[in-house]
Amino acid sequence: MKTPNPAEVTELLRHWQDGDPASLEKLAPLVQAELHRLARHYMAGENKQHTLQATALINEAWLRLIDWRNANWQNRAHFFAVSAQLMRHILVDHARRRAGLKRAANEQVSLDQALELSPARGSDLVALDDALTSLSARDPRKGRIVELRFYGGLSEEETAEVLKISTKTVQREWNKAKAWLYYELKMSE
Amino acid sequence: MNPEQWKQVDRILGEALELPLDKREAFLDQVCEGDAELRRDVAAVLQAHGQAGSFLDDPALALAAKEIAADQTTKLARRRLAHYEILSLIGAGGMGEVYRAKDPRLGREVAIKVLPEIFAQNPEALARFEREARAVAALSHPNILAIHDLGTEDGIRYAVMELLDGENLRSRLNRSALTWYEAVEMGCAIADGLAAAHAKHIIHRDLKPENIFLTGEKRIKILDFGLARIKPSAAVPIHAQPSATDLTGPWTVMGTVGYMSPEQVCGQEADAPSDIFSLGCVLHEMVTGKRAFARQTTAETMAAIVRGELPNESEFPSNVPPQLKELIVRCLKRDPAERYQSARDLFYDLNGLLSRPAVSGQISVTNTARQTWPRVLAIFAVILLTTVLGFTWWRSLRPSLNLSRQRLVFASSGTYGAASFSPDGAMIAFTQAVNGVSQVWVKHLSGVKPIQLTFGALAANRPRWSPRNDQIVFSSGKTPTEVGPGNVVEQSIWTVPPLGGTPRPLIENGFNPNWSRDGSKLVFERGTEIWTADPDGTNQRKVEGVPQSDYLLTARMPALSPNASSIAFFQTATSSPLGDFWVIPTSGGQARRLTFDVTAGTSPTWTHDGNFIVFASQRGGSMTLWKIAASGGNVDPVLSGPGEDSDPDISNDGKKLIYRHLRQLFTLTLLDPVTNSQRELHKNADQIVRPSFSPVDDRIVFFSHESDGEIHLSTIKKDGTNLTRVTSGKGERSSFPQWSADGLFLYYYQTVPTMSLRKIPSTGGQSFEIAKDWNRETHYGAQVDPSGERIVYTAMINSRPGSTVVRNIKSGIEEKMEVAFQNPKWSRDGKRIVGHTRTGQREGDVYICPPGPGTCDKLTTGYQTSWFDDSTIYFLRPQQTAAAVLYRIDPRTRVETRVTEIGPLYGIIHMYDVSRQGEIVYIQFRTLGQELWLGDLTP
Repeated sequence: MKTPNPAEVTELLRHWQDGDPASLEKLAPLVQAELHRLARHYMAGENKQHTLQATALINEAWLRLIDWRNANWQNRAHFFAVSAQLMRHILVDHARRRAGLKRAANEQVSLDQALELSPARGSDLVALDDALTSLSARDPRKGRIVELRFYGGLSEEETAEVLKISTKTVQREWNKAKAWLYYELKMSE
Repeated sequence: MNPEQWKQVDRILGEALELPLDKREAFLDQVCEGDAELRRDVAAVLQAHGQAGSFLDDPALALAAKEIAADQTTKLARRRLAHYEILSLIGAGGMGEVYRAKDPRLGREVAIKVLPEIFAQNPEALARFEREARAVAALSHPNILAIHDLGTEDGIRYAVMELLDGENLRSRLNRSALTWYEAVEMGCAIADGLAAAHAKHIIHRDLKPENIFLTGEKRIKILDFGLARIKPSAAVPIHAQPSATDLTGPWTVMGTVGYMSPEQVCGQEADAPSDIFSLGCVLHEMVTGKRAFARQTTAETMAAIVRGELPNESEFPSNVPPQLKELIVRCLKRDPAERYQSARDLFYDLNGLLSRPAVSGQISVTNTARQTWPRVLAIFAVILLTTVLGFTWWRSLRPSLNLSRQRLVFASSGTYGAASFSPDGAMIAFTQAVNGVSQVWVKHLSGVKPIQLTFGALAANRPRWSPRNDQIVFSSGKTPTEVGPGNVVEQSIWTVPPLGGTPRPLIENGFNPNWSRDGSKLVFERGTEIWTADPDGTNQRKVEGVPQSDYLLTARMPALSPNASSIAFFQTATSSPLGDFWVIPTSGGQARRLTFDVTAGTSPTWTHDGNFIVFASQRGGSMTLWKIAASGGNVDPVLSGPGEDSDPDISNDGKKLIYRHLRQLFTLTLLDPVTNSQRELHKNADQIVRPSFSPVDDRIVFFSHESDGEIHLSTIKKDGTNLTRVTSGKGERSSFPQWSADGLFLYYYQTVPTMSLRKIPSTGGQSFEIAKDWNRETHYGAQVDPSGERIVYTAMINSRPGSTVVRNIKSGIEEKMEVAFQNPKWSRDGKRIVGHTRTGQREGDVYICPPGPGTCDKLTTGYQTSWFDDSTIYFLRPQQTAAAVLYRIDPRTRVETRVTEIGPLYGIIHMYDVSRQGEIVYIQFRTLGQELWLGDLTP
């Protein structure tokens, strides 16, 4: 696969953000390729601070993908919001496809002990996405906080900055959002 | 929750979360005062918060990274390798990538393992890998992952293997502990696979839970045979070796630390006893839940294997049979010479453990003096005391009158059935399910590999090898699953050459064919009639004089006598699956009844001299083989023991008998639906039915088949202790144990010696009669009310519920209820009766009624109702699987709640009960496999 051209990615991202669904189809494979690289990189380094590491990797991925000079992003916050949405879209889509494949494969499980696929994860992300959608419908701010923190990998402070609210509020809302999502997931089990 | 409510809950939730844990309850009480619903909602979300733990703490990418990384390799996959079409990546690891692929030539899916490039750099290792893979490929054993093909394309080395569906033993063990019985079952299959490999001088070298695979059909497959040998040494920490070794080169033989034998740890060549040691480690872990040699570091683990204390018998749970403890300890001996010397011996001993009654506790007999053991068992006991017999081959110890030296035809568990000898007795035709469809196979009794004769979507049943050796006939088509109008048996009889060829239809509309000993005549069933025909299907004649039968589900299984003059068959009683064996002249005429048991029976077969008929019957409890003189007389057991035996066939020379043995396990299981934790209280290979909680204490009563051949009522405490037999002595008891309201007595039906509904102290003792001449075939589901004055029961007409009646015990006055119930149950206050009507196989309508005449109310749909308290009724709804979902309903508000799923369950009578604390007791049922056993017949 060719290396994505940052200008191309930026262009597509803006189109998608402007409401052109077709641009996502072109955008997703480009971002996915980057995600694969990133995921392998992430898997290779088994250090204890993997949460921090994943966050750093996501940010790095976007820096690599996006042509900042020509982006004309209104602000940094806007960019994070869009990228978190895109990350959510791609990861959930991936999980959905994977869950579908797995069903198709009749719950095929690995043959070799060295395989450490985690079969539950795919569907976890799918169920979580459904729960998040219904949470966002009830309380859009909680939805955005989860999107930024969980998919965008943003810290509480960054999230507060993006949403122009206090860190304390982010903490409180994040705390409640987790409770609601967990509750929802349990109910749907 | 509507949006307003949601916002309110969210607000209170936020405030509650700000408070310390111990202040929250009081806060909720205060803020939600007078609004129970609001309080419940907030508490639920608050509870979710408490349980959420590290939920969402890792970013999504961290969770998805593994999968995404794995997907990457998929992208590298080629669409095709040789003629195999790659479908998807199953997984990747140090030993290469495994793909799901299609073999278009054979139209089947396979797994393809592509070896890492590193192999290509070492021709010697590669050659050894291929040599061993070829040897494994030649093994063709049901417990060893089959290797279909080996190949190289464009420098890519690959092995084509059988595609499996299931999980490995490691993940099975991670899910929940195994019972010792399950552990032995699995151990048996592993030992069998190892034995087959060792016979070909193939040593596994790396047996461990990760290399043992459990398929969806509960079969065991040993993976990665021989691969261990060429593991790159870099993959294991050689430097941690505690002892001096002569490990040289990058391809040293290594196992996995923790399962390696002491000699492997010391760098010596692994041999068969090494694999036995590893299997000992696996067995130890399966039985105790702990690794035999788990230490903090690899070096310490290795040291423990070589020098540390060996596991001893005190480490095992108390319910593990001493023989099993000894067996495992023997596998783990440090000196290879002290271990089992062959996996085959180990297999025999494990198999022996499986076959003894799987009783986890000792039954305390309430009144030993009254205990009359069947004569056969007494003789059996004498044999045991006076002869030196090992416990290695249990079936030879069974009280068989003239059947000796029994052995399994297929060592592994499967779904084998209906074997028929070839004329020379050297081969058998039999059925074995392929993808759930019964197919006809043939096999040399001495050879390994069976040949499949039939294919396709329709089941092929009951193959019979022609005594003229020119054909095998069998029935094929759909079997009826339910009695009812319009339910036609669409079966016909087919013929196929014994060594393969295209099957062709022989007789339209017929089933269960059978040959005369001289091969001149065929007998078969058509509808409920018996017919005969010539071997080519012509000259079809109905046998006149066979009594009518109106029960479509039970086969007659006609069998011609050796000279073709008579036919033995099973004849059902009116509208019942139960019946007896009869004989009729082939030319028609007067049928003669041979047995007088009125019980389930099947598959009669004649001895080669025509003097006896061997048949399968439930006359002694579970289905097993019996014999009777063709002229009538006493019925004697041929076999006994747990499980079900049927389908006997006798070789032409009369020297061998083959039969099908069904291994099954009933487990009395206690389930806490709140924590979803299960506890197995009692196991029985024959049957456990109708558990019921005491209304006053911790006891559970149930019926089970016991080792004396009787059905007994026993109680056990819900913590699994105090197993106590309530009834004693001979006497057929059946069904519906019920507690009196004070827990002091139990009610049950007795059929023999006198038919009656009886009452017995729940601690055992003298029973007395409540209602004379009652049994469950006539007065179904009798339940005494809490006051002990009334009985509700369902009067049966032709085995179907007629009407449900409430009877005053003293006055004998009966009042008919509006609805006919399957299982009426009194509410605790005695004012209402709940039960279900039967509309289909399982699902019915749940009604609540006043006791007596009066209008009933339909509550919901479901079956097997049970009161929890007077405002909660539990009931089941069927699942597509062998499980059922338990619901509860409030009869006033009609609000239904799903409680939990229970299963796997037995047949269509799903039995459970609910304790006052809300725990569920139910009977788990599992089929452990159908085996073919072969024994020598001596006159």
